Amino acid sequence: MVQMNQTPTQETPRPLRIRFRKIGALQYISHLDLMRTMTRALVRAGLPVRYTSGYNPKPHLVFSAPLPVGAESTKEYLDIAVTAPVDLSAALTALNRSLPAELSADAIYTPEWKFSEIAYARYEITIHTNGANAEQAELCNRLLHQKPLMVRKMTKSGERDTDVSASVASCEAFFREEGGEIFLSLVLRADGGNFLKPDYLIGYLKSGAGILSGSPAEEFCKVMRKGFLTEESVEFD
Amino acid sequence: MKENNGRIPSGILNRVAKPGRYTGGEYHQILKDKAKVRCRFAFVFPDVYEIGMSNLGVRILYHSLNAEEGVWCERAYTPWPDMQEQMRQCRLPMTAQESGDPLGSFDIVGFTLQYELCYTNVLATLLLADIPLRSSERRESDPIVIGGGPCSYNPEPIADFFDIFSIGEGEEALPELCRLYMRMKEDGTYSRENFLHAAARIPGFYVPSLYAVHYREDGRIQSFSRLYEDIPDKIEKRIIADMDHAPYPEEPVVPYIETVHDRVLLEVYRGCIRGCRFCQAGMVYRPIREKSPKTLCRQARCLYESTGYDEISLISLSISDYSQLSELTDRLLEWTDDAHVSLSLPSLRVDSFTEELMQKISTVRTGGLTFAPEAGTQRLRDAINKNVEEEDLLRAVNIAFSAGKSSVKLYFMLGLPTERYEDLDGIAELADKVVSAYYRNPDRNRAKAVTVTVSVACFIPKPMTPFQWEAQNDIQTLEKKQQYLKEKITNKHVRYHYHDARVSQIEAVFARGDRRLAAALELAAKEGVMFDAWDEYFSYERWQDIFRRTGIDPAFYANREFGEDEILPWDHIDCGVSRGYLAREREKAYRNQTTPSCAEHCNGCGANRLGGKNRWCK
Ligand code: SF4
Repeated sequence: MVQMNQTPTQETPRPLRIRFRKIGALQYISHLDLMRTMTRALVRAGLPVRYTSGYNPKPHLVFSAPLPVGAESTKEYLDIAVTAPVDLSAALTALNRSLPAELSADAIYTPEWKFSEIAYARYEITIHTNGANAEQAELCNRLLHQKPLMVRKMTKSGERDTDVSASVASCEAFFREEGGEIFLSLVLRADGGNFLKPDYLIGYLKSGAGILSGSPAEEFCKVMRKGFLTEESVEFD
Repeated sequence: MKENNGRIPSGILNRVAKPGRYTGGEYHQILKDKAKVRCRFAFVFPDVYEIGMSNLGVRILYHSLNAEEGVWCERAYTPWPDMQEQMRQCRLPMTAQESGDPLGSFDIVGFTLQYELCYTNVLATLLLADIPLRSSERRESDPIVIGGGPCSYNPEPIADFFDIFSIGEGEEALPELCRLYMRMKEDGTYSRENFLHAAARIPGFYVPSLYAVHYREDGRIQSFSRLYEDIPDKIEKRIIADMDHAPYPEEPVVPYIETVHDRVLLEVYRGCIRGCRFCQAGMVYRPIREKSPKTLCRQARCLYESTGYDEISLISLSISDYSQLSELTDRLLEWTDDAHVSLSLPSLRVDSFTEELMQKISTVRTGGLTFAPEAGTQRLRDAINKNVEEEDLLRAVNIAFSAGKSSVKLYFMLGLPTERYEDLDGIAELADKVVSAYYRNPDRNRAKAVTVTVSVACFIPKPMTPFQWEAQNDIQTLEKKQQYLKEKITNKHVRYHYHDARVSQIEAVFARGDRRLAAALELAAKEGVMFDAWDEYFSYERWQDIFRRTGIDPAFYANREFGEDEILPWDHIDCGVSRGYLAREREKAYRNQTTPSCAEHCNGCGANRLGGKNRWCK
């Protein structure tokens, strides 16, 4: 716990952005769990975080697009505001001392872009499936490029087939000899109303290409989010 | 901090509910270098992660075991049935949270036994870990299986499954046991048999296999005797003498997923001055030992800084009986409000519910209010020694109503010894009086209607209480009384809930059971019975079937009055409070006579002979 300058000041809270990873065991905690964990880490780090006002004040946290449970990410973003000046590198050290390694922060800085500028998310998915080979990868590739691209979505009124081709900005599937795995590289829409979960595409490939049908101890896929892009395909930060 | 070593395949984690239960890696978990560890201890809470992580006892013992050089204590929780299914299909063993190593490879596997309905989970966990269920079946290479916690005050129903029980408070005893283990391993004297015999000679450890029970033809106990002269006849519980200097975890493991008590748990004192005659905790945690406000304030601050929690819960059996509550709360409030930390007092009594507290404690201000009169008439409240008067309750609810509250919850118990139907009428009448108090209160929230929730549990006779000999009402009687009360409660502002009488009977069977119940538990476990404490898994019909097939009459344990001259299954366990005191208290119950609290004067319960830095005991 570092003692930052905690004297109450009247100055306007200063916005700060934290870029962090969510990998390993930490991929299995939900968005709500993440909020709780970050809240506590910020308190442990002693950062002068601005609290919400009202009945039950909590540190004011805003996250970029939520990450599905069971997916990892190397670039997640959290915006906070501080009520007193902080030294950014000391704050990063203090925060990382308060965070598990699998949720560590890579940078704390004053944000230039707004979360609303996020248009796409990049994903890398490795599929470990029995007897994976180049033909299978090619089949996945063809399936992903189909138009319309009909995936089964769960909605309030049950399952429904929806065309999501407009939400897939780019996709590629190939076979990787060394791991014996199918590798997908995807860029999917990630702005508010248009968010496409990669799970839908995995489910689609599962039924379309007959992959991932064996024992879950041997067959699985790993989803890694590699950051966001703006509408102009510029790396968001 | 551990990187997830992928020990549970992600394909499985992605298929189960709340995978965060199984992945470990929590903040402040303790990792050690295996090369330097000579005793590996797996501490199992036999229920789901969210409940186990909330338990204060586990937090304390995890800390005190890991403080011991050479010992590495890890945690484990019973996997939820969906995960168990995956583990069976994929042949994954039960593992510990920190290292991911199989439980079967540990030196010692300890279970905390918090409630009787977790017994089948203990066995389910052993089965998943591939550890033989019965102590007698374990080989040299199997772990030593040890139990502790409230249920170890009558460990007999599960005695055959445990190698050792730790009786009483474990923070000094368990490290001592580990030291014995390491010493015997090192000097070559270790064998299962030698170790168990040596453990039985350490105060506070009960090795069931070294004691023999014989039964009479009528089913009662004929004799209970030790097999060696050098082990005690009666196992006296261990206590921590000085709470101010007791080990206390200042860096508890902070979970990621939401748990039941996801906050700082600050233990204020042990024991209880009240002596309600049905309450086991009130007897077995005596003598009363308090921490000083100074210690508590230091620990609170430390815990807040190390966890980042925004709530501190003051833990004890009855927080308002802490002799320095005002000083403690004042000193905590000096910083907690500014740090956006709220204080909660989960064990408030009606007679101590004051306006001052209501203003001071934000969770009292904002949270729901619960009071426990336990019985509907003064006569019965006197008989059970619940020293609460109707006036106290009405005064307390009026304070709450004036402050804008419009709902209260009242806890009662049904089937108490000496209960008559007029006592049930009393419950309905008391609820009515609370409703009228609301409408007579000029300061009430006029925009809202009042809701009074009456929640009624069934009395379960518990070992080591004045009512330990009492018969539980049979299921028909309990259900008849529940229905009777249902008809009596006509006020539309009163909501009525009651516990399943059949669950309460099973609890009573295991609470007062003896070693012969092992057969039923073993059969139940082999047939996949578990999570009995969860409505969705509890099946009375299945238990009836299991009892029938193992020749057990549940009524013998639950619905029979035990004789005061009878050898009770738990007579060899000594919790400090004497049997004579319990019998005297029972007599007083029949005369509707109360016993003053220990703060007024010592009633000679016997617990003071255990010593310790006591607050009230003479
Ligand atoms: S010894 Fe006396 S004061 Fe102490 S717990 Fe027993 S009755 Fe109370």
